[in-house]
Amino acid sequence: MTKRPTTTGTSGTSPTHGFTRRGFLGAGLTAGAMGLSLGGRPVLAQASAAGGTLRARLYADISNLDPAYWTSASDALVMEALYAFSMQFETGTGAFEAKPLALKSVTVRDDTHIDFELNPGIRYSGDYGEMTAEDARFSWERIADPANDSPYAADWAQLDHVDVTGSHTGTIVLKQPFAPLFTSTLPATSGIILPRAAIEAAGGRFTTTPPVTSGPYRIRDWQPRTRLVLERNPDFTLFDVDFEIIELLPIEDPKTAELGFEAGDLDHAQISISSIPRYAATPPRGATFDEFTALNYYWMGMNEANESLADQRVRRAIQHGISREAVVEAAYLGAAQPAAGIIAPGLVGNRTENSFNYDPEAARALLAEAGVTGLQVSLAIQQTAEDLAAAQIIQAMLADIDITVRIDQHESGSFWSLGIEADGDSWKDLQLFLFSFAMQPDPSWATMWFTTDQVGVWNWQRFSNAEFDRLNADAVVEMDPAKRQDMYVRMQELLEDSGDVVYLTYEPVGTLTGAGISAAMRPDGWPILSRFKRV
Amino acid sequence: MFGYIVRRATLAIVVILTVIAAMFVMMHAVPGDPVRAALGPRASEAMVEAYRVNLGLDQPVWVQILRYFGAVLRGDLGQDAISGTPVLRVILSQLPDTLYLIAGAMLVAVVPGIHLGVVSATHRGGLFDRIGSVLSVSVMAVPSFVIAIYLLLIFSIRLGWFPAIGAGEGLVDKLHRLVLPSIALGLAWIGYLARILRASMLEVMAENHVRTARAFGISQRRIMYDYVLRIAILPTITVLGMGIGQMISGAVFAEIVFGRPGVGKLVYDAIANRNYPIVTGTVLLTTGFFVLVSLAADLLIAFLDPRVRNVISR
Repeated sequence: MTKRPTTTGTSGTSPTHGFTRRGFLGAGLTAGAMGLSLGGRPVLAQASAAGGTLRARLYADISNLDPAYWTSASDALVMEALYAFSMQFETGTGAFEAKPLALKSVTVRDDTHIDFELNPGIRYSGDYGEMTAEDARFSWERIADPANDSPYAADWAQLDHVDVTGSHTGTIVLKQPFAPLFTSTLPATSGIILPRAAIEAAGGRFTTTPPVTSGPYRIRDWQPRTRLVLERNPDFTLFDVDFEIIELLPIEDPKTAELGFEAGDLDHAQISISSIPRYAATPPRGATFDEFTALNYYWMGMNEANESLADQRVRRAIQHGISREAVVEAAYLGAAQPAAGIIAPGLVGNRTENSFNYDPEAARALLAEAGVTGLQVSLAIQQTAEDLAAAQIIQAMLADIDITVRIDQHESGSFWSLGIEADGDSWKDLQLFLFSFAMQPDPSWATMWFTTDQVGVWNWQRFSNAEFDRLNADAVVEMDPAKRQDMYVRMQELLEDSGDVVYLTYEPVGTLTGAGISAAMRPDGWPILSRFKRV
Repeated sequence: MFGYIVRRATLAIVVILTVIAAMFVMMHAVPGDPVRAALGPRASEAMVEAYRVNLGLDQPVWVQILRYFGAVLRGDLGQDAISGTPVLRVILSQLPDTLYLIAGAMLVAVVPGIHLGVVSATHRGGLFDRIGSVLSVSVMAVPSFVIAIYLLLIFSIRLGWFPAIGAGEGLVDKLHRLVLPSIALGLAWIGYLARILRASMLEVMAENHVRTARAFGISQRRIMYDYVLRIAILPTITVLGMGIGQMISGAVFAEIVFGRPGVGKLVYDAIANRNYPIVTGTVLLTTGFFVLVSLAADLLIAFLDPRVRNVISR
């Protein structure tokens, strides 16, 4: 799962108006589906997976399957089938719990020495033999090495070196304790182990043609942007694999995926947020609808460097002027709950109480105190149905406290450069904006974007707080979960106290799974396709 | 004729160069960065800058345009900014599915469209002509994506006759999956072609040589197909040549709604990701394709119409 700010849902083509092709298609599909439903005939039953083939939606085509350089959620999803992860999250549980997979055991000797032992007999594809501790050393140090320019070097930021003590045993030696090691490094793509010989044979890095695999599946056929066919790896023995074939179809538009599912072309698909209420009420006959809370956090940011928002009292008034419940209800149609922070429930650091809630009287008083009347601000959003609905509610509520909001819709490519200094001066005019970021199941992934050194990069609020920065650095090396909890809660308090954010929600995820299939899903709705079962 | 082809080819090169230069200017006029899309948000600013230099995006636009033209002359369309795959390979992997779709849509449009136009013209003012006129305007008036959605909902989901998404494997499966998108893309053209052909035929039917043919007692059927249609079809061929360009544009919606691969969706996604090499490469090839089709249409007209042939030869 990429950390890139998400574009879940839709993206459009025009930067200035509200009509988008996909939005219109989505509306048409919904209307059409409703029209047919009114005809009285139920939706056809979902065909169950036949012949040992699981057909699933891929959010987009693969673009890079190198653990050191992958770029998209689709890459990560496929990598989980192609490589034996060092550790893997349990599925079907409410909490994130990673268990060793390629690793037979992991023993914390002390905060900076972690002993590991690999399962014997994990075979690589080709002539690369068996997975060894030497491979682990090579793979992890490869990502950490600054010379390799891996965007994921931070996952091994505290790695000093790996001691190899035997063919299958070794010790991870850290410079400092590193809590994300067991939540977003070893159980994620950065923990993948590949042999040096294969990487060197590929010239040091690769993109969509892995020189070697070790996981439950291997690539049988890839037709770019058309389909990716994985076949079961007979040499894989770490867990039982049910499906002989996994056929992945890159479908970016979730509405298209819904139609594909209902027509029996897919056995599993993530659906659009706007369809969650409909499918929750009446899933296609024989299909299973599941709903999850993603780790993606959604908030409204305020650029404190903008002249109109420089006064903290004005930002605080905006915080008091917005009912998070109303915004979330409008945007997510009852499928999500208001948030009090950026760290999702189930993770260390989840915060349950907001400091500044809806209070229009307090908002008006703050504006009066600041001497501000007739304030006009812009709200930058992407061309998604969720953003537009949320923006319209925000617009209406802020009008109630005499703040006029102009909604500026941007297609995704333009939107994601608005606050980046290197891309121009648009950050100076940025005022309010709706943001959604994806993350891995470690709280450090949520807070790292709000530090001072991220100002002008992804910290578009331009929030800068020395205590926040210090806590952010300290929490990563703090191994006591209780202390980490307090530190991350404090960071979210500081962020809210600044007046720079209105926490909104954690995005819901809805999935459909065909009859006769048991989906293996992480608590955040992330599918582990290799663990899907026939029932 | 040879001189004509050379002149058209020269014009085609000018058109392509102009379109590519315009694309470069437009792409750089809008905000967005292919480098961040390629490297992801966790890349450091140093990595972003280094990659930008590597792609040549640090250079002025005019330098990038000249470099691009130089590379194109060497047969190099660059590399996908995100995956690093050669652009030509990416486009060629998508092009067949779009060509199949356009061919299917053309088939859907031309066969009934021409017949509807001929019968409407030969039965001018009659019941069939009136019904044909209503149908023609109706299919033109309904947006293609609405047709696409209802085709899916009815024939894929409700009746289960056709798959909803994907391009398929093997000839039969591919053809099966081509039916609905071809109809969605080509249906509006039935009415369009029928209307043009009807009007054109009525005009030709009023000309002297047709009256003369009738006076000689030549059968109505032979007059229609040998004397009238042969001339009346010429505007239709021109429109079809232009229509292929429009169908390439229209392929975007069909490829999205039907979850099909193709160059339309390729360029649509590439624009969203600011994947400049893919955008320019696709525009280059589709513009070239469009220019070739237009040339072919003109040559076909010259082949069918001696008057045009004489003008070209001069």
